[in-house]
Amino acid sequence: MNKHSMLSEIWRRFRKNRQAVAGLIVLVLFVVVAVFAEQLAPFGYDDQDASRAMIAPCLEFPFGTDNLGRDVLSRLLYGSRYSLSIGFLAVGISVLTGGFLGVIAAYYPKLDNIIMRCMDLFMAIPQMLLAMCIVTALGSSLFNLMLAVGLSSTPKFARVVRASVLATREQEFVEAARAIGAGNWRIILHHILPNSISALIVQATLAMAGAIISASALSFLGFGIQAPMPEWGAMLSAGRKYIRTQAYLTVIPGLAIMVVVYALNVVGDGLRDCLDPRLKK
Amino acid sequence: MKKSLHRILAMAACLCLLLTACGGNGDSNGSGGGSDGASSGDGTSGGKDTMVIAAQADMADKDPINGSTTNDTIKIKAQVYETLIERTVPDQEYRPLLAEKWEFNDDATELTITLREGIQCHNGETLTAEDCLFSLQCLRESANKSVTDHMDLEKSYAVDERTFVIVMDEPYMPIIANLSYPTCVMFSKKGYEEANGDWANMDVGTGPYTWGEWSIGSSVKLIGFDDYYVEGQPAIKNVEFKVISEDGNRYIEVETGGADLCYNLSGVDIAAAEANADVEIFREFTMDNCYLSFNHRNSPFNDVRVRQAIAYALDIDSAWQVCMDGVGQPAKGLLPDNITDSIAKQDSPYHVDYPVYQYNLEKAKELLAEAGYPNGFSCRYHVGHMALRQAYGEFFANALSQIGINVEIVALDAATNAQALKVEHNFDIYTWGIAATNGDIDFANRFFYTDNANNIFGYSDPEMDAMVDAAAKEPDAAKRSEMNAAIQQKALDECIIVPIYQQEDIHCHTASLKGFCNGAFQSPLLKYCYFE
Repeated sequence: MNKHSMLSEIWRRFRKNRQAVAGLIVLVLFVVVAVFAEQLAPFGYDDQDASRAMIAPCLEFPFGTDNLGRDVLSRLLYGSRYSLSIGFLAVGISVLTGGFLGVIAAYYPKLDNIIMRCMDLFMAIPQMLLAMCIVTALGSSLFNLMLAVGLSSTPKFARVVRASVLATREQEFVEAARAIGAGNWRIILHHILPNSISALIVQATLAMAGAIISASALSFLGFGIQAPMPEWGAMLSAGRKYIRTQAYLTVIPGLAIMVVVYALNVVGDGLRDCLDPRLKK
Repeated sequence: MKKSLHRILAMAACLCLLLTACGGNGDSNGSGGGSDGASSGDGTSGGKDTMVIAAQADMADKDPINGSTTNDTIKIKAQVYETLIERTVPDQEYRPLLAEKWEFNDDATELTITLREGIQCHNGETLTAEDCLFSLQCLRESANKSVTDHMDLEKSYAVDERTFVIVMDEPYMPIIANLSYPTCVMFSKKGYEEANGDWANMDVGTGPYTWGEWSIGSSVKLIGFDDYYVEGQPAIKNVEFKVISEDGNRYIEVETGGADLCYNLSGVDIAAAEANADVEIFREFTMDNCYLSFNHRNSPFNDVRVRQAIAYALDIDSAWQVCMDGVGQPAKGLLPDNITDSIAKQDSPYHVDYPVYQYNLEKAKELLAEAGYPNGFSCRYHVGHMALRQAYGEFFANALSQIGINVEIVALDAATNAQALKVEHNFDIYTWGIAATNGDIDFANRFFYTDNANNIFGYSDPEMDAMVDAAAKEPDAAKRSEMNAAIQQKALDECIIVPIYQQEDIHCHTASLKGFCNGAFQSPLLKYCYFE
């Protein structure tokens, strides 16, 4: 009952932010597209036909065709699967690893220094470079790409979670739980985490945008998905040599990345605004 | 309102920054390019003495004998260090360079070389026969020791200051090609010993240019050598190689006057360059074929029918059309037709039409069924790191899926790919290049020789080995062509490799730059260039 009203309260506040709602609609659209790519796409993502190579956008091919005669629209639709799943899973990985480390660090002061100094160490390495190292070491594949992007942003999550857990564990209800003899893990899972999760949600939404960009950049550099899979960054990279003559090959996947990332950003901002306890009336 | 004002201000600031950056660049280009605009403006270009070259990659090192032999590196080193013999492209003639003349004895076991008179090294020493023998000895101990194959350097000797004799352990005709190979350079022994063999800090070559400033990753400068043994060469006093890895940007540099010459023009820029009256294009087919091959060590590729089935399934003409943007041409034979003794040559008495296995999916399926794979199989295809070969990979993977072969494309970076192919032999299908790199067909023949470093596919047949050895020893040119033809025929019959396209050198330069030509190993001979 209480939970329900909290959610509806959040939704009420979120709804007021028009930009965020628009972003959410765009995101939902993209998710629908990703799920139903097979039904929506007029062609397969690897239907090659040399006779229709490099056709500029027209009625039959709204986004044109590439050098191998593949329909760019179909590839873009299939590509949304990769970009979105990379976004979700990579962030999922960083939420799990970063969240776990953050909670441990905050809850067990003895481990705090060790864990957080390790995280600082990772922070010192530029995220992109770290991701590249991980992909190079593991070999390039879809899963490794997610892993690389996810692991490289672990330290950020660890910090955010640690900070919010530190604040929560001093609360009276935690003390009360301890007083009635609850175990450490029960306290963490049932009392501390639910109360410090809002920071995590906001961070995760914003990080998802970053993850999609990082994954696209890695694919652009050739560290990502293997051809002929249509990842947006890889499409951008494949089209860049034609940028002077067939600009649509780069503009279209570029726009797709931009729209999704923008939508994620405004949704993240909107969520932060309505979840931030300081903004509560 | 306030927020949007901030945004506008920030954007304006960024724009200003960008504009000033561009402006600064433009200025430095103008002065770096040897007052390009000014001199060509008043018609007297005698004042322009610097050539700026937009190159694809930086030089890897300064070491001409042990160092890197990537195309980009050789293109620079070949201006500073010279070989005894110069090979001209495309007519494939051997011309005197440091050597004035060379002569075999009657049984082709000794080669007498006479040096030109008055060759100065960059350290001020005169190049002597003793220096040449020392250089060969250094090469023998280097990573590129194959250029000294079959030379007996213990027994080789200097006759006088300018004459020396290379004694060979057996007749070996490709020795001339080896002496013209860009790593087979001659240098001053004294200079080498004084610098303790530290190539980074010595300049002991004989080439038309000496080392200038090298800013790693961005530019290499060369300065003309005043005491070069040919009067009037090099005509252009300074050369600067600017590293610009992005294809499109390299061409734009020439269009905007930031560079006089652009190496490796990409296919998509050809049309723009052709339409531009101020830009001239240089095109020349190289001696490389890119091929697709198989891991002969394992089944199913040790079955010739499987290899032939794959060859039948590949439409190399269409593939070239969609992947190459007009650069190069579909393969004309096992080896390019500009290699002496290649049976791809139209006028060769042993000429064979290519493709031998003309695109035919029905035939491919039949052969596959005959070999016991009526439903195909799955395999991995190592395409390497080059975008072009990846495009081919995508095209071929799609084609092979039509005969039931399910291909997984593996794109690895250059080093990891080479490791998988050459060391671990952990691959099924891959693409690579085959070339007569030193100009002699023997080099290409050795690709089919058991355990040769270039025999990545792992083919091994004692009969083939004997044929290759015999052809290299044969002094009679006509007999040698026949033997070379038989080797190529055997390779085609057994479908050891499937050649797919022939590479092409495409450079472009401003119309005022004249005399541009290629030497061996696709390294342009900049000493002949001049401005008009």
